[in-house]
Amino acid sequence: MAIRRDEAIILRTRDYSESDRLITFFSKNQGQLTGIAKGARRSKKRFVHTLEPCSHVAVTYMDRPTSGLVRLDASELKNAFIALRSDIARLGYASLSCEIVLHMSPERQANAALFALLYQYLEQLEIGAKPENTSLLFQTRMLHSSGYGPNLQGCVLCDRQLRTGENWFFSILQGGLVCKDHKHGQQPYPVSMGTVMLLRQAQQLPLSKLWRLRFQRQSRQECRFLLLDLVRHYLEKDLKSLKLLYQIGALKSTNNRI
Amino acid sequence: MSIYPPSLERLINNLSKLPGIGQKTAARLALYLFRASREFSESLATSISEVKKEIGICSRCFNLTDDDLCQICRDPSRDGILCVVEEVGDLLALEKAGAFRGRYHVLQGVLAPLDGIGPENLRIKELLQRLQPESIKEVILAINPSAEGETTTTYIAGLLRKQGVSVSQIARGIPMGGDLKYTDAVTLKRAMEGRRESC
Ligand SMILES: [Zn+2]
Ligand SMILES: [Zn+2]
Repeated sequence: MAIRRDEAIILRTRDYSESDRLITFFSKNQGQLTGIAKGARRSKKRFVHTLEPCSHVAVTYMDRPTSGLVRLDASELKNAFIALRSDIARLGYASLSCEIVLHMSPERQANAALFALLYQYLEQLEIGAKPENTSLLFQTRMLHSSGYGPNLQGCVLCDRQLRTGENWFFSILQGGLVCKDHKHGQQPYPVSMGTVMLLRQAQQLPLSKLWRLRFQRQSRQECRFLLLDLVRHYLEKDLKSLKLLYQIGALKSTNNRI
Repeated sequence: MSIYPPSLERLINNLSKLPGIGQKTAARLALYLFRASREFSESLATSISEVKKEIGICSRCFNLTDDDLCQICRDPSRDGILCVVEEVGDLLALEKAGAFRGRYHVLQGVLAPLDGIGPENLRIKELLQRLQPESIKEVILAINPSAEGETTTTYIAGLLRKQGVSVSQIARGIPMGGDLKYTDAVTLKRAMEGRRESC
């Protein structure tokens, strides 16, 4: 048994028993962990709103090798990203990213790059960055830094290079670009050259410069469901946060797949 | 194989589904009921089925009721002001404290993106539909100050203001008997924002 102290972002909280709560958090040094917060339901004193989803906290927990769950001993609020609460769309997009990290990051596997990405993403939303643009940047970068690509060098089914082709499509099934001769049966999404170049930049720019990128109207329309569908394809499940984003009209439920 | 006869086993299983009751406690309660008088166990069974048969949800405010409208909605002296709460338990607490003398509206939850709960899953539409017929001029939002509760408060306040209703929210800050030194940053911030002229 070891007592650890770490920085973390709260991903999800659930009631566990009459008095306890189960907290899933993404820690900087240990990756995703789930812990029991004893008494967090009954007595609000010990964990007083330091365990809210999307909050940045300093946690102290007891790691127990015999159990998958850790025991959360203390949690101190570092940044509650309070401004998110004043705008349902921003909270919706913040929750979407926490949910994606919850499902895509394996337990107990540190990923400092992903931690920094999630933290900076929440910070961007907090200071008023456009939620959808910021979310598209997050999704592109998250897929890339978790090893999911996607491949944007040229057609993944033949040798055609990006600069030699004209009409390009994105195949969710292949996890990359396909040329016009190989789009059949791939449920392809049309993508313009501008969008491909933007996505490549979002994969490679240093994190501090990522947030300057802008998805203009066309790229935004092309990528809106492409990236979400790619995430859902890898997860093999839907994301709950999308329901709220649809309901408040932040996302229109039409798809641009051809 | 269970060590209990089937009917006792069924009772234990049912009891263990109650909040806060584990298998051990359920077994203890079941054995107690087995030993208790016939009158007691029959009266318990009847009262459980009566609650399910007779108690419903008020069609206007979503409080508990034994009629179409709840007692509060039927009371003509309680009008004009509406207090919006998260769940029935919150309404009962305010009633018990005698803290409010108008009518209520129970949302049946808060906006919770991670649980897939959006505006359409709460009784927000029904709230807006009450404003005109009941000539409501003022709404007090008494939603718990969690992150999700605060988001819900801001969201509903925006909708109500568009309808020309005056909106306020309950104060948040240092609890009675509290101490500034031991209060966290978010609460202190909210307490400062919510200050008022001293009397
Ligand atoms: Zn090809
Ligand atoms: Zn009622």
